[in-house]
Amino acid sequence: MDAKELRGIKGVVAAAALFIIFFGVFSSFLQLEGNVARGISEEYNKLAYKMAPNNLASWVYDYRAIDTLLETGVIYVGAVVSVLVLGRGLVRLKVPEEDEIVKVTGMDLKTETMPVLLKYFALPVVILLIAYGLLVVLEAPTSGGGGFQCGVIVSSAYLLSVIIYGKKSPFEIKKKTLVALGAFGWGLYVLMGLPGYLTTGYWQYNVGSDLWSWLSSFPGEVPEILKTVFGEPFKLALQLKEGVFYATSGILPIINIGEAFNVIGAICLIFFAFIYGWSDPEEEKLE
Amino acid sequence: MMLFPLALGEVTLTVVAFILGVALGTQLRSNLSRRTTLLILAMSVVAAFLFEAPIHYSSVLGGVFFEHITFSLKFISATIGLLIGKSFAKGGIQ
Repeated sequence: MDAKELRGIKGVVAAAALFIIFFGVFSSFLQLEGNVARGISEEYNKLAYKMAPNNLASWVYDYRAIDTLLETGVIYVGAVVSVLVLGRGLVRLKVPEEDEIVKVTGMDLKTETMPVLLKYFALPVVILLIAYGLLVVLEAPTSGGGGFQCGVIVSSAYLLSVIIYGKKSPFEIKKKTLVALGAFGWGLYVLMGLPGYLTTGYWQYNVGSDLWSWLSSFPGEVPEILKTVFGEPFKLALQLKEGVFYATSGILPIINIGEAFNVIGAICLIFFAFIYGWSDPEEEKLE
Repeated sequence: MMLFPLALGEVTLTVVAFILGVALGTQLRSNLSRRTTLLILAMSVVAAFLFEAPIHYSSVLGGVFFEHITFSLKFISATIGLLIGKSFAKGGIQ
């Protein structure tokens, strides 16, 4: 990327985002001393009745989400390195309209000669796969699943569609859209860190469920409006023998959605690069 | 059998599934016949029955009709969203 491209509004937004992230994360690290309880089970077991029904997902989300975000970063790096190694140059993805979408003739299937099963059931399967991906990300607070899994499932639908239909792929996502999806996911993920940071000093503190404010050593207080905005829409009634209890997963579903979009963008971009190809400007000049 | 849930969480994610379905559905470019559309909807209902509603859901709006007859409404609403989103894109349902 040329530094000139970062001038103007793009540069200002990028610089502001980097500053906010750096300042937030760095200052959170400074506050770690004395506020970290080793091990999580004791505290979380005390809080279990206040949390989302799927305790496992909620317990480890503090750790797993950051882990997944970094995994996504690794995917981006892996994609860039793969393309650099195989493409021997700077990555510049081609736009499908500019060139043949699928260069390998074996993949250029004609739907007329396609087996009946693929011809009539491939598209419904692709649509149902996407719906399944959405189900997986949205049921994460109450059952197994999450953003990463959703991203992988939707990306599988994208790849399946391209493999079966070739140039006539009905699930066609443009390069710009993929980049936008990935950026939207990162942005949403990072934005969800702000409410907790601004009110409690903890980055991505779950202001919707507000699990830790009962601790005397907790540094901040979450305003009621934030608890309502992020907590009420996801509140569930747990009807147990002991009575009815209410639990909310807070900002977890929103973080999951951000994560899902980010992974969809990242993995589909990898598929995009390998399917549609890339070009090296110097090679193009030689040709 | 309760029609309305005790808390909003049983409905919110179904609405979100629909919105996300519409968003991703706009990326689908193909012509779907009415028969295929009905096939997809029927398959989604079967799949929703197999996936079931989460165990803490208790209302019809959450997908719980009887004790052992529950549907994952998120799946159905995501499918409907995808089909509607697809109709906004080039092609549409014919």
